[in-house]
Amino acid sequence: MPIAKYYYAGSERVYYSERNAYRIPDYFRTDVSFNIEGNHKLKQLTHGSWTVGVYNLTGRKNAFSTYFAQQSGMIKGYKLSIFATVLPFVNYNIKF
Amino acid sequence: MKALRTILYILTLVLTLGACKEPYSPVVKTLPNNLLVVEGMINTGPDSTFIKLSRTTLLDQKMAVLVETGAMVNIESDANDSYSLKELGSGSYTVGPSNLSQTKKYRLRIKTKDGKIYLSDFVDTKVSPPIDSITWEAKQDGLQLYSHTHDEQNKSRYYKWEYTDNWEFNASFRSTSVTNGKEVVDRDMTADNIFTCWDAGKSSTIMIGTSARLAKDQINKGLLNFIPANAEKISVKYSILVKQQVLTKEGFDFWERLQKNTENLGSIFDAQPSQLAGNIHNVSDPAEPVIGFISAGTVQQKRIFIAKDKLPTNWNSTYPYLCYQLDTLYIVNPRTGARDEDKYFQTRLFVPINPVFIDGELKGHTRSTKECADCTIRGTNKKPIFWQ
Repeated sequence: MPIAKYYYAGSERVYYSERNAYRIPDYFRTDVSFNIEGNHKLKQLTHGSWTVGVYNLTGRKNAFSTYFAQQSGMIKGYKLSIFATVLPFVNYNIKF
Repeated sequence: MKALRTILYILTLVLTLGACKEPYSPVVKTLPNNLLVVEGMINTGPDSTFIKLSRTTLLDQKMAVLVETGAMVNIESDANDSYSLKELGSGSYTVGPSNLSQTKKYRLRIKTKDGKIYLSDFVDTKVSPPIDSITWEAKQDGLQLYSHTHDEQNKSRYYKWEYTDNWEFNASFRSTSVTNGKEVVDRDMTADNIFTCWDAGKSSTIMIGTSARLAKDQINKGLLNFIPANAEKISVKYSILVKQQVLTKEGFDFWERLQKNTENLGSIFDAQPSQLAGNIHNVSDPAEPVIGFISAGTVQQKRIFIAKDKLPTNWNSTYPYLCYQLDTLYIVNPRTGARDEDKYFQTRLFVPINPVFIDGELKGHTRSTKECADCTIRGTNKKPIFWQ
């Protein structure tokens, strides 16, 4: 990971840490879901049930990746998070 | 079908809202945010030794270079000779030619302002063979320069090049008039030349080459710099002074790794960056990283000139500013009666180019901007002493 910069042999250069010396920020997520079962009839061909829930209940912005990019002569670090919000979902399950 | 489209729409919305980019500054915990950086070589030949000391800075710091002042720098030999370097300011330390031996080993001792002592490893002195020639080739899109050298005794093997370059260039328009503050008069074309100028630069990339895999110790076409065909550097005449130094195997490995780490990154097929280990250590704390590699030896140099008329005729340099066609300013504007030249030339807003006569009478001068007529805003009008 780039940790510092310096000037050497006519240009600005980047100093890298040793491999695996750093970790990306902690990942933490809570998913909650409920199953809503319908009837329990024996003769029915298929049994359906609904699942309702949310991913990432706390809406934490977990880092999917971190990267460094050069911008107007400066090296800046960024972290990218995907689904950085509370995400509801609905499933319909079929059993047979 | 409509439902599908709605689902797709919602999905895209969720994805775009969901993904986000945020600034991320990792907490650099193991302190190395101002490591000592040592640059230079111990010159055992008839030239001066220059050592530059600086510090690393954090990535998001704007500061260009953090120089290290107030250090005591000494060259030491394995026979206990010591030579002290004088501080030049802005992190540079120097000592003139000191009759160093070509058979002894040398190292650098640095005592920084905060009392820490750094020592480089003892290195063999490497005497550089002369540069055989500097050549160039006109490629499709520019000029490629090469260095050629050889060592009869097969002792050199690892080479490093640096250069300083100078070039002559012209302003877009040749001004033959000048204002003296009151009126526009003829320009003294030798003493007050603003048409032909010279500018200088130096290498900013790492140029190394090795003959380690060859039977003979010979470098044919060692890659130097590349100049694009439309560069102003080669618009009139270009000159390059190449300096050659021989490295030890360890020195070569250091420069090669530095090159890989800092110049050849970015595409997915490139090597992973790795940590750079130099040959300088903190005496009391050997674990402290210090950036830089100190070598010792002599330097050989060679200069060549490349004139525009030797280059392909279809290469045209791009002038760095937009220059419009010349238009004229009247001394007294016949329509408005205003004294236009007083307003624009005497205040030096514009540069007068040539006098304009109407029916044999001086009525005004053509004008242009400083960027297009005055080359001294980008270089010097003093010819370098070595210029041919």
